[in-house]
Amino acid sequence: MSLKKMFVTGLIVAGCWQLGQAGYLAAKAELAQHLLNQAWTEMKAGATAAKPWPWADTYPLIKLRVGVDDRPMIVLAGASGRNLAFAPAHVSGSAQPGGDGVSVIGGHRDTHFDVLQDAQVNDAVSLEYPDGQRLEYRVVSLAVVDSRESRIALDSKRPMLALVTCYPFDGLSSGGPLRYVVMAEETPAPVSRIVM
Amino acid sequence: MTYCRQADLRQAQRGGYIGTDSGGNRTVVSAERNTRNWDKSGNFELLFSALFACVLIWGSLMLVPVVHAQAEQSNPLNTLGSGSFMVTQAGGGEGDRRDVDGRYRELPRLTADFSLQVSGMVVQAVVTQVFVNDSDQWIEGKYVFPLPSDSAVNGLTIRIGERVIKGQIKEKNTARKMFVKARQEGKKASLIEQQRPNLFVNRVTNIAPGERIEVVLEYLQTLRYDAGEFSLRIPMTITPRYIPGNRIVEQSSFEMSGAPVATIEGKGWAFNTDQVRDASEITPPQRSVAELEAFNRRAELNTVGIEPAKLANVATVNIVLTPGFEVESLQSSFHAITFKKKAGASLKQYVVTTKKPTVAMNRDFVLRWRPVATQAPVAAFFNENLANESGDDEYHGLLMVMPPQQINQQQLSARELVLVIDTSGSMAGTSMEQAKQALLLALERLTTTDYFNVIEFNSRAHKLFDQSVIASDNNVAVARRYVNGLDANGGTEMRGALEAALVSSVDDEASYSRVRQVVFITDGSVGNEESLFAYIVKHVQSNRLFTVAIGSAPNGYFMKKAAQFGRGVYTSIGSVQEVNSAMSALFEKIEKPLLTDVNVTFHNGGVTEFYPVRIPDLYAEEPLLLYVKLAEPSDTVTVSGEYEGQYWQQHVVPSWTAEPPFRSTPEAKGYEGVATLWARKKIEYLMDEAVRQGNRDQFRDDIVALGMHYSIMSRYTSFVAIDQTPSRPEYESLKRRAVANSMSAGSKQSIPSQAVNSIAYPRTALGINGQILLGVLSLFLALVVLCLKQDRHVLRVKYGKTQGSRNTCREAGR
Repeated sequence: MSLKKMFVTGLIVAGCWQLGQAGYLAAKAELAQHLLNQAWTEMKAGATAAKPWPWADTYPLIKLRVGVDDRPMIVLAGASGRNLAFAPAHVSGSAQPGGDGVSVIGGHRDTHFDVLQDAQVNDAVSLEYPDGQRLEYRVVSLAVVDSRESRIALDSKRPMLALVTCYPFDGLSSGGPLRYVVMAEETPAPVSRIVM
Repeated sequence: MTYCRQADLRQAQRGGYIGTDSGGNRTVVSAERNTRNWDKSGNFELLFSALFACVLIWGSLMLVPVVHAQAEQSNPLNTLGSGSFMVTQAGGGEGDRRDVDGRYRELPRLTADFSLQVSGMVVQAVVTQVFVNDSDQWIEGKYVFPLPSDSAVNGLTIRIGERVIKGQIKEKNTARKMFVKARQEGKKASLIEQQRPNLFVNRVTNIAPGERIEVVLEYLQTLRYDAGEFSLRIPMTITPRYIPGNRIVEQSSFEMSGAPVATIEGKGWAFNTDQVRDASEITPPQRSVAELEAFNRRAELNTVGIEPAKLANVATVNIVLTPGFEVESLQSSFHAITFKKKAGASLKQYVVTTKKPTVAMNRDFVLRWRPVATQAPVAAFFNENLANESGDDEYHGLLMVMPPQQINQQQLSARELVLVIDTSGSMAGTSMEQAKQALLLALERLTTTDYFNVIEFNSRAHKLFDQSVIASDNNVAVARRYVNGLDANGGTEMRGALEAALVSSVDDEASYSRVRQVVFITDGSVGNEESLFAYIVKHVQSNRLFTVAIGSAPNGYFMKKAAQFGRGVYTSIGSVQEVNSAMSALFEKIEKPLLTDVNVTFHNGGVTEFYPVRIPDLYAEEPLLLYVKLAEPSDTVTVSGEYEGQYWQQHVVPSWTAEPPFRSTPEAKGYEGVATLWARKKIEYLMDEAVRQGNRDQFRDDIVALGMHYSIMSRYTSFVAIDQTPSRPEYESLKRRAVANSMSAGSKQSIPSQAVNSIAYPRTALGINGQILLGVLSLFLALVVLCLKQDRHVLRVKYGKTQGSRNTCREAGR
């Protein structure tokens, strides 16, 4: 009987541990967005590169909206594994968001970038700078690619966004080779902005 | 919720059966038992459910790849959109031309043989690069290879079968013209050019199908003597260099004014940029270690008992060592070696080879040896006399003098330690582990009076603290956590890191009084070395810069010169095991007093010319190496300086008649190669001055003259060897192919692809779904087993109450 007890306890511990891990990661991703929003407010108030938490080695770069009324996400600078756990992040080798060329933003498919599975061609994507300026993008293509065999070409005459996340969205493990890439192209500034 | 149907029940009655359907949410419990064998069957149940649990967990783990496989099958790539619009195929260039059985098609294979003679402080090396053309076409191979950064390449021969063609030293453009002409005429030729002092390019043209060409290079080098240990490093491959800057549109670098456009493009994976103008020359294709191993394994299987020369990117190493003293330990850092004493020689001589007949060219070969304590040299002199044009002897010498050993325990002045760590993509893998360990060790050495800061850099630099902070327990703990969380990713914008490290952001009295020591931990894989040196020269001020070379194939040139311009020293770490000893040695050195204001006096007439002209401050156990040319032999040399506030001097009496243990030609007077090394040192001095004065080609003529006179390679002089008779028929075309280098051992960097402005995808999954699934499955299973226990209890009670009722059907499950 004690064997059985041990077995049951072991199962419960393992189960709780796994669920706890998952919960921790999800909570971290959620909580980080709140802290980042604070840093964002600071930056809006004039601070440059405000650190969201004291030991952070990154700062909020832009605010990203995928779809029309979806919750906005703060994007961090530098797509290291550590940053991606907190927020979507801009891959530092690529063009600056809004600049000419392809700007690559990666995010975890199981936290922030789960919104990408609903993205459709012609959907609106917008990004906002800390100074309040906004840029509008339009989704031009969706693709599944194999990261072992291809890379993202960065040359483009227009400002482009490449939103990258892992594929499939309901995959079980991390580290798979497939990526889901949403390409968006900048649309000319809306009239309202020019008027303002 | 589940229920029992009659059929289920009947089945259950027979087997005592617990089951779930594929959804895992239906459980049937049967209780066709009598009380006597209850306990036994309980154990069976437990066993069965345990087995089942194992199967379930195992199954769910197996599910993961299945899901992936399905995803790959049901979603053929790029079906969802115009994938080719933004995606470029990685590779597809020279490095990837393999046919089905894994042979490299159209690529020349390369093997190398390193044969070294070490006597005194001088190394004479003969490197034989063997190019084999496995294809059925005429090809020209281009091989980018590393040599020690202070090597003086002074000989080239090519061997084709029985024929031997001697190479000549020529001014760079002249050599190129000769080579291009030979190529067009179908003659076999080899051209070796220096891209960096430690990076060379060898082009071998008109290799016939199936042919084998040997290119034999000779170089000279001085040993490193540091902390009581002699060492020798043979670089085998290069870590892909980071190329900063903007692409430039230019005429091919091979184009010559007036000459027909007979170009040899660089064919590297990078474009030339405004910061690295020869980027396409120094970025050869590279192959993963695993891929090469697979190739070589197959080659060995195919050629049992024939010849071993079917392999690619392997080297043999053979060293004859005449140390001149009793050796206490002789070892190689990363390779298994065997050595035996050579019999019959008057001096102690060792023959060193690797244990395996060949070694993979994926990491530097390092040999280290130590004299027995009583024989550790404190000064040494090696001479060579050469007749100049007018027939007079010119006396060349290599002088080695050790600085004084520490006498009193010195009170360390307040210091500020700035620790810089490279977290660029090329550090991914074992390099990053080594760097982190090194940094953590450095943090451990801080005392509570020290100030410190940590800077990481990749595509940009990031300071942990805005300005240096006192090394309190709390601050160090913060730094430790920061270091542990670092990972390698992105570019190598080293200039920003140097700026953050060298330029202090605070100006107060206290920060001025502190000695600022910068420890720079990197693999140095950058292509813009010179502009970085210029930056260091300009901004080093009173700071001291110490470089720590990390990885299997670091850029030794960068490490050494950056430390020199930064008035510090360098050290290298090639494996995690070395971290402790190397970092301790470095810190012991930088915590001890220096010999400053070093001055050397020669007591003789005539012209004396010695290098380095600016004698650096000497760190503990770091010898002064002086290369000198005299019009007449000197009796005494006096080395003086200031040590711990006191005047210090030492006299050395050089012997101008010393004879080396062996010599290749009877006419040689003294240690062969010393004169050449002097010239090489002079070239280095001129190049350094050019960096200091910000005019790259300022001493071009002087360097060309030196190179031609001493017949050594430099930035402006190249070796070229040309066969006299054409061999390629005019109707045969020539294909140009680059020889691939191995990726360095332990590297997780992705292999650079062809020259397309592109980046790899980030990793973007946490695997939360999998964790949730496993968690839920485990808990569910626990519940099932728990329910069983209750069932049994309930059943027992029921049995007691309703004797005779043999069948019970209960709800179970969720």
